[in-house]
Amino acid sequence: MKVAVTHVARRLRRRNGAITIEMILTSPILVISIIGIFEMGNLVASTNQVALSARNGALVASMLGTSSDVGAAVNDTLLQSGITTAGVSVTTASAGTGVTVTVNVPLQNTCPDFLTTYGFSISGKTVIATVTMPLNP
Amino acid sequence: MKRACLTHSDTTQPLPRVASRRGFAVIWLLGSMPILLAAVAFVVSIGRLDLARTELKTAAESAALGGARVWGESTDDAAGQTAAMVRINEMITANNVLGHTPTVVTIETGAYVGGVFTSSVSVPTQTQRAYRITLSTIVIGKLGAANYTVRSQALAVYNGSRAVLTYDALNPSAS
Repeated sequence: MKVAVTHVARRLRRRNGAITIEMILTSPILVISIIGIFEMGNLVASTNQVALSARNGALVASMLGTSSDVGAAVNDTLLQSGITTAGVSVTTASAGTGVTVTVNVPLQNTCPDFLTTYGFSISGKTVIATVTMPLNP
Repeated sequence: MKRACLTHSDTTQPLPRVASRRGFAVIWLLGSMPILLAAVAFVVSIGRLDLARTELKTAAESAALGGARVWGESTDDAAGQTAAMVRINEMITANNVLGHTPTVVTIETGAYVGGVFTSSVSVPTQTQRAYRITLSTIVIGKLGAANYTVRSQALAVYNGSRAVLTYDALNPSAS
Protein backbone atom coordinates (compact mmCIF):
# COMPACT_ATOMS: atom_id res chain seq x y z
CA MET A 1 0.00 0.00 0.00
CA LYS A 2 2.79 2.38 0.88
CA VAL A 3 4.44 1.53 -2.40
CA ALA A 4 1.20 2.34 -4.27
CA VAL A 5 0.69 5.71 -2.61
CA THR A 6 4.27 6.73 -3.32
CA HIS A 7 3.84 5.67 -6.93
CA VAL A 8 0.66 7.75 -7.43
CA ALA A 9 2.09 10.76 -5.60
CA ARG A 10 5.23 10.62 -7.72
CA ARG A 11 3.17 10.46 -10.87
CA LEU A 12 1.06 13.46 -9.82
CA ARG A 13 4.14 15.39 -8.78
CA ARG A 14 5.69 14.72 -12.17
CA ARG A 15 2.59 16.18 -13.90
CA ASN A 16 2.56 19.25 -11.67
CA GLY A 17 6.15 19.90 -12.62
CA ALA A 18 5.34 19.73 -16.31
CA ILE A 19 2.51 22.23 -15.89
CA THR A 20 4.73 24.59 -13.93
CA ILE A 21 7.38 24.51 -16.65
CA GLU A 22 4.72 25.16 -19.28
CA MET A 23 3.41 28.10 -17.29
CA ILE A 24 6.93 29.48 -16.89
CA LEU A 25 7.47 29.22 -20.65
CA THR A 26 4.13 30.70 -21.72
CA SER A 27 3.48 33.35 -19.08
CA PRO A 28 6.00 35.89 -20.52
CA ILE A 29 4.00 35.87 -23.77
CA LEU A 30 0.83 36.57 -21.81
CA VAL A 31 2.45 39.26 -19.67
CA ILE A 32 4.02 40.98 -22.70
CA SER A 33 0.63 40.94 -24.47
CA ILE A 34 -1.17 42.47 -21.50
CA ILE A 35 1.48 45.15 -20.94
CA GLY A 36 1.40 45.81 -24.71
CA ILE A 37 -2.36 46.41 -24.57
CA PHE A 38 -1.82 48.74 -21.60
CA GLU A 39 0.88 50.68 -23.45
CA MET A 40 -1.27 50.90 -26.57
CA GLY A 41 -4.12 52.31 -24.49
CA ASN A 42 -1.75 54.88 -23.05
CA LEU A 43 -0.50 55.75 -26.51
CA VAL A 44 -3.94 56.36 -28.02
CA ALA A 45 -5.05 58.38 -24.98
CA SER A 46 -1.94 60.55 -25.13
CA THR A 47 -2.27 61.01 -28.91
CA ASN A 48 -5.71 62.47 -28.28
CA GLN A 49 -4.38 64.78 -25.59
CA VAL A 50 -1.56 65.97 -27.87
CA ALA A 51 -4.16 66.72 -30.58
CA LEU A 52 -6.16 68.71 -28.01
CA SER A 53 -3.07 70.63 -26.92
CA ALA A 54 -2.32 71.57 -30.55
CA ARG A 55 -5.92 72.76 -30.91
CA ASN A 56 -5.64 74.95 -27.81
CA GLY A 57 -2.29 76.31 -28.95
CA ALA A 58 -3.69 77.08 -32.42
CA LEU A 59 -6.65 78.95 -30.91
CA VAL A 60 -4.21 81.19 -29.00
CA ALA A 61 -2.00 81.57 -32.10
CA SER A 62 -5.01 82.58 -34.23
CA MET A 63 -5.58 85.53 -31.87
CA LEU A 64 -2.02 86.44 -30.82
CA GLY A 65 0.08 85.13 -33.71
CA THR A 66 3.55 83.79 -32.86
CA SER A 67 3.71 84.21 -29.11
CA SER A 68 5.11 82.46 -26.05
CA ASP A 69 1.50 82.11 -24.92
CA VAL A 70 1.04 79.44 -27.62
CA GLY A 71 3.61 77.18 -25.96
CA ALA A 72 2.10 77.91 -22.56
CA ALA A 73 -1.37 76.87 -23.79
CA VAL A 74 0.05 73.65 -25.25
CA ASN A 75 2.00 72.81 -22.10
CA ASP A 76 -0.99 73.53 -19.83
CA THR A 77 -3.14 71.09 -21.81
CA LEU A 78 -0.46 68.40 -21.74
CA LEU A 79 0.13 68.79 -18.00
CA GLN A 80 -3.60 68.40 -17.32
CA SER A 81 -3.38 64.76 -18.40
CA GLY A 82 -0.05 64.11 -16.70
CA ILE A 83 2.15 64.40 -19.80
CA THR A 84 5.48 66.00 -18.89
CA THR A 85 6.60 68.89 -21.07
CA ALA A 86 10.36 68.28 -21.20
CA GLY A 87 11.53 68.02 -24.79
CA VAL A 88 8.16 69.09 -26.23
CA SER A 89 8.55 71.27 -29.31
CA VAL A 90 5.89 73.73 -30.46
CA THR A 91 6.23 75.47 -33.82
CA THR A 92 3.94 78.22 -35.02
CA ALA A 93 3.85 79.17 -38.69
CA SER A 94 1.64 81.80 -40.28
CA ALA A 95 0.80 81.13 -43.89
CA GLY A 96 -1.67 83.25 -45.85
CA THR A 97 -4.92 83.43 -43.95
CA GLY A 98 -4.15 80.78 -41.36
CA VAL A 99 -1.73 79.89 -38.62
CA THR A 100 -0.47 76.36 -38.14
CA VAL A 101 0.70 74.97 -34.81
CA THR A 102 2.67 71.73 -34.71
CA VAL A 103 3.24 69.95 -31.40
CA ASN A 104 5.89 67.25 -31.14
CA VAL A 105 5.89 65.21 -27.91
CA PRO A 106 8.39 62.44 -27.07
CA LEU A 107 6.43 59.24 -26.43
CA GLN A 108 8.43 58.67 -23.25
CA ASN A 109 6.71 61.73 -21.72
CA THR A 110 3.32 60.07 -22.08
CA CYS A 111 3.74 56.62 -20.56
CA PRO A 112 6.29 54.41 -18.78
CA ASP A 113 8.58 52.34 -21.01
CA PHE A 114 7.55 48.93 -19.61
CA LEU A 115 8.59 46.71 -22.51
CA THR A 116 12.11 47.97 -22.96
CA THR A 117 13.44 44.78 -21.28
CA TYR A 118 11.70 42.71 -23.96
CA GLY A 119 13.08 44.73 -26.86
CA PHE A 120 10.08 46.97 -27.58
CA SER A 121 11.13 50.45 -26.52
CA ILE A 122 9.22 53.70 -27.07
CA SER A 123 12.41 55.67 -26.63
CA GLY A 124 13.06 58.08 -29.51
CA LYS A 125 9.50 57.87 -30.85
CA THR A 126 7.24 60.94 -30.95
CA VAL A 127 3.58 61.91 -31.21
CA ILE A 128 2.92 64.77 -33.62
CA ALA A 129 -0.24 66.86 -33.95
CA THR A 130 -0.83 69.69 -36.42
CA VAL A 131 -3.74 72.14 -36.32
CA THR A 132 -4.50 75.11 -38.57
CA MET A 133 -6.73 77.95 -37.38
CA PRO A 134 -7.77 81.10 -39.26
CA LEU A 135 -5.97 84.35 -38.39
CA ASN A 136 -8.38 86.02 -35.99
CA PRO A 137 -6.51 88.82 -34.18
CA MET B 1 -17.89 0.94 6.23
CA LYS B 2 -15.49 0.73 3.36
CA ARG B 3 -12.50 3.00 3.70
CA ALA B 4 -11.57 5.04 0.75
CA CYS B 5 -7.97 4.13 0.39
CA LEU B 6 -5.77 2.18 -1.94
CA THR B 7 -5.24 -1.46 -1.27
CA HIS B 8 -2.50 -3.69 -2.50
CA SER B 9 -4.84 -5.16 -5.08
CA ASP B 10 -5.25 -1.70 -6.62
CA THR B 11 -1.55 -1.49 -7.28
CA THR B 12 -1.55 -4.68 -9.26
CA GLN B 13 -3.98 -3.12 -11.74
CA PRO B 14 -3.03 -0.27 -14.04
CA LEU B 15 -3.86 3.10 -12.50
CA PRO B 16 -7.16 4.62 -13.67
CA ARG B 17 -6.66 6.57 -16.87
CA VAL B 18 -6.39 10.30 -16.23
CA ALA B 19 -6.71 12.76 -19.11
CA SER B 20 -3.24 13.97 -20.08
CA ARG B 21 -2.58 17.46 -18.82
CA ARG B 22 0.55 17.94 -20.88
CA GLY B 23 0.22 21.04 -23.11
CA PHE B 24 -2.34 22.45 -20.70
CA ALA B 25 -0.82 25.97 -20.46
CA VAL B 26 -0.21 26.15 -24.21
CA ILE B 27 -3.87 25.39 -24.89
CA TRP B 28 -4.91 28.11 -22.45
CA LEU B 29 -2.51 30.55 -24.06
CA LEU B 30 -3.78 29.78 -27.57
CA GLY B 31 -7.36 29.94 -26.32
CA SER B 32 -6.84 33.33 -24.74
CA MET B 33 -5.20 34.83 -27.86
CA PRO B 34 -8.54 35.73 -29.54
CA ILE B 35 -9.59 37.48 -26.31
CA LEU B 36 -6.31 39.41 -26.19
CA LEU B 37 -6.67 40.34 -29.87
CA ALA B 38 -10.22 41.52 -29.21
CA ALA B 39 -8.90 43.63 -26.32
CA VAL B 40 -6.29 45.21 -28.64
CA ALA B 41 -8.97 45.89 -31.28
CA PHE B 42 -11.21 47.47 -28.62
CA VAL B 43 -8.45 49.72 -27.24
CA VAL B 44 -7.34 50.82 -30.72
CA SER B 45 -10.93 51.44 -31.90
CA ILE B 46 -11.88 53.52 -28.88
CA GLY B 47 -8.66 55.51 -29.19
CA ARG B 48 -9.16 56.18 -32.90
CA LEU B 49 -12.78 57.23 -32.35
CA ASP B 50 -11.71 59.60 -29.59
CA LEU B 51 -8.94 61.07 -31.75
CA ALA B 52 -11.29 61.40 -34.74
CA ARG B 53 -13.81 63.26 -32.58
CA THR B 54 -11.17 65.71 -31.29
CA GLU B 55 -9.74 66.33 -34.77
CA LEU B 56 -13.19 66.67 -36.33
CA LYS B 57 -14.27 69.16 -33.66
CA THR B 58 -11.07 71.15 -34.26
CA ALA B 59 -11.66 71.19 -38.03
CA ALA B 60 -15.28 72.34 -37.55
CA GLU B 61 -14.18 75.05 -35.10
CA SER B 62 -11.47 76.42 -37.40
CA ALA B 63 -13.90 76.50 -40.34
CA ALA B 64 -16.64 78.20 -38.30
CA LEU B 65 -14.18 80.77 -36.89
CA GLY B 66 -12.79 81.52 -40.35
CA GLY B 67 -16.26 81.85 -41.88
CA ALA B 68 -17.64 84.03 -39.10
CA ARG B 69 -14.59 86.30 -39.16
CA VAL B 70 -14.67 86.92 -42.92
CA TRP B 71 -18.44 87.31 -43.14
CA GLY B 72 -18.59 89.49 -39.99
CA GLU B 73 -15.91 91.89 -41.24
CA SER B 74 -17.50 92.26 -44.64
CA THR B 75 -19.74 95.25 -45.30
CA ASP B 76 -21.37 93.45 -48.21
CA ASP B 77 -23.49 90.52 -46.99
CA ALA B 78 -23.49 88.44 -50.19
CA ALA B 79 -19.84 89.09 -51.11
CA GLY B 80 -18.89 88.38 -47.49
CA GLN B 81 -20.55 84.97 -47.63
CA THR B 82 -18.77 84.08 -50.85
CA ALA B 83 -15.40 85.05 -49.35
CA ALA B 84 -16.27 83.19 -46.14
CA MET B 85 -16.92 79.98 -48.10
CA VAL B 86 -13.41 80.17 -49.55
CA ARG B 87 -11.94 80.52 -46.01
CA ILE B 88 -14.11 77.70 -44.70
CA ASN B 89 -12.95 75.31 -47.41
CA GLU B 90 -9.32 76.32 -46.78
CA MET B 91 -9.68 75.47 -43.11
CA ILE B 92 -11.45 72.14 -43.72
CA THR B 93 -8.75 71.10 -46.18
CA ALA B 94 -5.96 72.20 -43.80
CA ASN B 95 -7.20 70.11 -40.88
CA ASN B 96 -7.13 66.41 -41.65
CA VAL B 97 -9.02 63.89 -39.56
CA LEU B 98 -7.06 60.63 -39.22
CA GLY B 99 -5.17 61.64 -42.35
CA HIS B 100 -8.24 62.38 -44.50
CA THR B 101 -10.20 65.50 -45.36
CA PRO B 102 -13.50 65.40 -43.43
CA THR B 103 -16.87 65.37 -45.21
CA VAL B 104 -19.02 68.48 -45.00
CA VAL B 105 -22.52 67.69 -43.72
CA THR B 106 -23.91 71.24 -43.45
CA ILE B 107 -22.59 74.80 -43.61
CA GLU B 108 -25.24 77.11 -42.18
CA THR B 109 -25.22 80.88 -42.05
CA GLY B 110 -27.44 82.61 -39.55
CA ALA B 111 -27.97 85.09 -36.77
CA TYR B 112 -26.79 84.49 -33.23
CA VAL B 113 -28.94 86.54 -30.89
CA GLY B 114 -29.32 86.09 -27.14
CA GLY B 115 -27.54 82.75 -27.10
CA VAL B 116 -29.70 81.24 -29.83
CA PHE B 117 -28.66 80.50 -33.41
CA THR B 118 -31.27 80.94 -36.12
CA SER B 119 -30.18 79.70 -39.51
CA SER B 120 -30.74 81.36 -42.87
CA VAL B 121 -31.62 84.80 -41.52
CA SER B 122 -31.72 87.36 -44.32
CA VAL B 123 -28.94 89.95 -43.88
CA PRO B 124 -28.25 89.82 -40.12
CA THR B 125 -26.35 92.68 -38.53
CA GLN B 126 -22.58 92.27 -38.53
CA THR B 127 -22.31 91.41 -34.83
CA GLN B 128 -24.92 88.66 -35.18
CA ARG B 129 -23.36 86.91 -38.17
CA ALA B 130 -22.67 83.32 -37.30
CA TYR B 131 -21.59 80.15 -39.03
CA ARG B 132 -22.61 76.70 -37.88
CA ILE B 133 -20.63 73.91 -39.49
CA THR B 134 -21.21 70.18 -39.23
CA LEU B 135 -18.57 67.74 -40.40
CA SER B 136 -18.40 63.97 -40.42
CA THR B 137 -15.89 61.24 -41.11
CA ILE B 138 -15.91 57.46 -41.29
CA VAL B 139 -13.53 55.80 -38.85
CA ILE B 140 -12.41 52.50 -40.35
CA GLY B 141 -12.34 49.81 -37.65
CA LYS B 142 -9.02 48.00 -37.22
CA LEU B 143 -8.50 44.27 -36.47
CA GLY B 144 -12.07 43.31 -37.35
CA ALA B 145 -13.78 46.17 -35.47
CA ALA B 146 -16.80 47.83 -37.10
CA ASN B 147 -16.69 51.15 -38.99
CA TYR B 148 -18.23 54.17 -37.31
CA THR B 149 -19.33 57.54 -38.59
CA VAL B 150 -18.27 60.38 -36.31
CA ARG B 151 -19.99 63.75 -36.53
CA SER B 152 -19.10 67.08 -34.99
CA GLN B 153 -20.49 70.59 -35.03
CA ALA B 154 -19.09 74.04 -34.23
CA LEU B 155 -20.71 77.45 -33.98
CA ALA B 156 -18.84 80.76 -34.23
CA VAL B 157 -20.13 84.33 -34.18
CA TYR B 158 -18.51 87.68 -35.04
CA ASN B 159 -18.53 89.93 -31.98
CA GLY B 160 -17.51 93.17 -33.66
CA SER B 161 -13.76 92.69 -33.43
CA ARG B 162 -13.14 88.95 -33.91
CA ALA B 163 -14.91 85.62 -34.32
CA VAL B 164 -15.54 83.62 -31.13
CA LEU B 165 -16.65 80.07 -30.55
CA THR B 166 -19.99 79.72 -28.85
CA TYR B 167 -22.89 77.34 -28.46
CA ASP B 168 -26.62 77.38 -29.09
CA ALA B 169 -28.44 77.69 -25.76
CA LEU B 170 -31.44 75.82 -27.16
CA ASN B 171 -29.34 72.99 -28.55
CA PRO B 172 -26.06 72.99 -26.61
CA SER B 173 -25.10 69.37 -27.19
CA ALA B 174 -25.20 69.82 -30.95
CA SER B 175 -22.86 72.79 -31.05
